[in-house]
Amino acid sequence: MTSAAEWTIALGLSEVTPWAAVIAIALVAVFIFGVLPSLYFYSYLQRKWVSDLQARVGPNRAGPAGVFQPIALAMMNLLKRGDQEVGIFSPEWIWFHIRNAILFSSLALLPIGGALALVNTDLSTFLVFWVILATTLCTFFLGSAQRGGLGLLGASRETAQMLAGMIPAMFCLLLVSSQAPGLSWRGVSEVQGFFPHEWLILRSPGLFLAFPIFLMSGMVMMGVHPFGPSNAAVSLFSGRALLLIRFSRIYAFFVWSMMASVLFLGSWRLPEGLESGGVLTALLQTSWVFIKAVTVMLGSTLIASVLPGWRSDQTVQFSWIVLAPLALLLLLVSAAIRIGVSG
Amino acid sequence: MHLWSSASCYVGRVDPEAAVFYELAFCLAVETVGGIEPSARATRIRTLVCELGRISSHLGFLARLARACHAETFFHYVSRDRERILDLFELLTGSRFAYGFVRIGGVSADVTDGFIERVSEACDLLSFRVREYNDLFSYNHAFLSRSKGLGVCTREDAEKAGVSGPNLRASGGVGDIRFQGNFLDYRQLDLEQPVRNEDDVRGDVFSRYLIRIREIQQSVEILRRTLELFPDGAYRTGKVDRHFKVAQGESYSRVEGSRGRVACHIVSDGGLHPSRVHFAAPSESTINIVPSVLRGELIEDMGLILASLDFSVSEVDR
Repeated sequence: MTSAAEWTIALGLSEVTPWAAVIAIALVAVFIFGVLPSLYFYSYLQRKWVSDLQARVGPNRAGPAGVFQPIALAMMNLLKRGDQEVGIFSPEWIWFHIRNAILFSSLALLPIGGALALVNTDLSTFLVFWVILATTLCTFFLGSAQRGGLGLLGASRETAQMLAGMIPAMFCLLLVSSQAPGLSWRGVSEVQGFFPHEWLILRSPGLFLAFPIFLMSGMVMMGVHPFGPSNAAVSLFSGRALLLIRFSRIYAFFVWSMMASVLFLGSWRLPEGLESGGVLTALLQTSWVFIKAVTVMLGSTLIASVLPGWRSDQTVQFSWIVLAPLALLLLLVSAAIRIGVSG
Repeated sequence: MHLWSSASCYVGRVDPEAAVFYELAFCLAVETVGGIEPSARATRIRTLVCELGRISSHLGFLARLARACHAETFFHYVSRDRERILDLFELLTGSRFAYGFVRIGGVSADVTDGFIERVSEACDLLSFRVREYNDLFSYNHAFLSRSKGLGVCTREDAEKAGVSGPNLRASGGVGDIRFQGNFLDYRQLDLEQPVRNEDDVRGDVFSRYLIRIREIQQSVEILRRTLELFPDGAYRTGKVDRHFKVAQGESYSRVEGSRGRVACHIVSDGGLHPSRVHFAAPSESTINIVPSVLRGELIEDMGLILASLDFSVSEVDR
């Protein structure tokens, strides 16, 4: 059965419904009712908790306990006229929107539940890396199209960070694949369970170490603090464009946290009694994996908030000199142990 | 044209963040020409506000440096503690910046027992906080790797450019007006000069940061000793009103400000108004070393280096 057909059944629609329409509607629904609320609460809770950590009040104006603060900020940026808005159909505008379109299309590749894993090939976990590569390329073209040298400098910096973070992340992914039947989302999910002792992160010391490496590699790629905010596109935008850039950055971090949750933290698995199939199971699985992703984001942001920021070259150096060799070492040791045990 | 009696309220605007040092330099110069001797209590109150002003300015420095290297949590911690110092200024002078508190012959208001208690509490708090700063930020690997060896200013370059104060001491130079001569009776406090190790005198961003941390600790110690030796008496001597005149002559005074040496030269023609008042501000010298300090460094580090030099734009551009 194809994934599209499974989606049709999971959503309670007729099997004759055109699959492309089903997928499009489902993706839009997941984005509106799943991704947006998750990122909204992440944004609010992150601001609230970090402000508490920093001995300050934090959001408290818009709505009770400042719960409408993210809406207020979004409205502020939407209504603000950017002082350096780029012209429509200029090279900057085109690359900017291609970049965002590619980034947001990654939702179709994400494992948002057992019934909702749309792309479930043997290498589906690698597809997200292709999205990252394509986004990096667009960012580079975007920076090159900007006037002056600053855009190009920023784009080069962001590209260097993306490539530096990708290598250790891929080593970690290979390490995970050694514990699972292939690199499909479902394969990785099947070897895990609902309870923490069934998660891959607790399967071996190597995987336990691989989780923070994988997470940090993602933070290097996305330019999440303390690995330096990458300002390739941000520096020359304001208003609505800035809002879109900020949102895309949080979204990219969300995608990465979701991957980390699926690969290491038990994926979307529920207790056995709840995995009977149907719409309810799909909803619970999706909610569960979203909750895990937001928790991972919040945890890493809180830890990072007490640290000073790193310079871009220090971040790249850290990734090449510490993260990549460590991930490679874990992979080699794991492979050696596996060969030793089986041989 | 301002009267002698009102001019001291305006001079603080050269640098509102460290206004007390400009007020003091001006008043000391006028007192020298006018032959006015402030009382022991007034001198102690001046010492008190000078050290509080130094702590406030250094905390502002730490906050700006933290911002420059995206250490938001440290920035908020330091800003919170600085608010406590500014609260003390508000309690004593009615203002948080540009106080207009130091006057010719003394100060504009006496301190109260409640104020002294609160200064003592602030000293205890700061002693604890500085240890917290060191744990959180000073010896953090990321900050060390960003600040050590960055933006080095040698002692020779600093002396050649006329740099003074913490920036000079961070480059291995010596000279602190507080411990020379009989400036504000600092010597009577029987203070020990802080021991400086290799990290303190390297002349880089980290040294400039560390020297200010040590100076905050030193100022806390000075405040404690000042509170112990607080004499009774008048907080102001002499009659300085609208008809106050200063004898004909000129005078030059120097004060150890938070950013370095603040010097004031005044000329009096014997009338109701100052004939000439000129200040030499420390940032004017500090700005001279910017090109040599920035040479060869990365653009990404420029904000951090400039923040570490702690120059005030209002001092330079006036």
